Amino acid sequence: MNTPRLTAPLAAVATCFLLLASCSTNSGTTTGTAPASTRGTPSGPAGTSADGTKTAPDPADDPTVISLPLDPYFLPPADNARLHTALDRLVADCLRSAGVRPPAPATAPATVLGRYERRYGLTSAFGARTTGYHLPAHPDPTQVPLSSDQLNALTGPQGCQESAARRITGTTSYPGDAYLVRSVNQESFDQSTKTPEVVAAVAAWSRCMKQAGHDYATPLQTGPWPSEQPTDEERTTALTDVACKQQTRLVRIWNEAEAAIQRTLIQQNTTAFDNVLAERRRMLSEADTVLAEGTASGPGRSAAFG
Amino acid sequence: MKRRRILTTLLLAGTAATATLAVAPAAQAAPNNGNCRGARAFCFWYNSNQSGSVAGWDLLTGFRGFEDLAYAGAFQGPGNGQGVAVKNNAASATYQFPGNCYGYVRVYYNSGWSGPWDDVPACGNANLVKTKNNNASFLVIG
Repeated sequence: MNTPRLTAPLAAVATCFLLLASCSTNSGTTTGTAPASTRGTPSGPAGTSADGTKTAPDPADDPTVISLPLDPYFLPPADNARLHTALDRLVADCLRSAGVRPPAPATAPATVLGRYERRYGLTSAFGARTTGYHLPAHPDPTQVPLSSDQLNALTGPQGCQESAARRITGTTSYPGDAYLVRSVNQESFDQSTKTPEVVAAVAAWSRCMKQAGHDYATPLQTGPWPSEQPTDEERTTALTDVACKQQTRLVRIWNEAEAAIQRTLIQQNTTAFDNVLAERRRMLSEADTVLAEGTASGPGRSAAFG
Repeated sequence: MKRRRILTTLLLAGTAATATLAVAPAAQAAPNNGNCRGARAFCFWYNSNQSGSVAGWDLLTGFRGFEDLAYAGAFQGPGNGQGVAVKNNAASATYQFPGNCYGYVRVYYNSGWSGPWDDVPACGNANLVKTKNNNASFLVIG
């Protein structure tokens, strides 16, 4: 693990302001899908190849691209979509059997922030320059309007949604990430904040910010800003924040420290993590069964309410 | 950091529509309403398994889909935990949105939608993985 270099941090910050486009190559729309070579695999210092020779800047130093060993254990969007297709089928069949016309299926929402976009604080230079610490503009997805009959049939302990959920997830809840995965997601972060590498990098970031006139102990103390719209002061602070992260290599250092912790936690709980994947396979298999059942009779029945 | 608290009243979200925010505006929270009712509602519970006092937001009336809980006040529903600050004290959560079950609410452990998070699926419940210092802001995603 490298010690952050702090030679002339203000000069670097100023350079970043002048050449802001080069300070970050992403626009803040990362979804945590880093190239396989950077997925939670700590490598050598930025700009250094395996044999120690200098190379081009390492993509892993792009602070908006973060990945962690836990990634495969979050429910993938494609799998979630299959589960929802089956859930929609079950709900529609249930409603029809109650004499209620099914509503149109809901669609997947757009991402507002990437999975790890502000995990170590603000990292997007584009976001800093445009909306500061405010959230980026985002749409509320089209809501499916419901009649009172539909609402009543869908909800409650005897409702169609809960019965559909029980068939697929075995609970009263629609699918989400496993508790174990959510726990490690939190635990690894907590542990990482106590590692010497992260403590040193955060202190270096704080000094960099202080030299630019901003007094924060950690990058998680910078928001929110209460003004209705982003202010110039906010954007300036946010740009300095992002530049100081790059100067101190804070995000990569933190990401590598947390990745190491996650690998340990996963290895210590191999059986439990295998069970997370097994339970996902079980849900997907059940979903496929539902969809296979629906294929034979679905179109004809839906036409009755068309 | 001390900043002036500005209370804003937002217009009703109204009927089903796709509304694009020019810039997601200020960070102050709308106060919670002490129940978990409504055709679209997000709620924190003081205890696990959706029990104890509740702090709820009706997402169809005057809500913009994100809150920083520094200004969310206390749990208002009857039961264990009533009167305790919502921020950093929730043990479980519910996101009910009948007929629109594809989204989720991301509960961040730090202000400003930063740090690690816990997701609560639409038409679902979740016990939050920590019961202290675990909910400082949240973002409704679908």
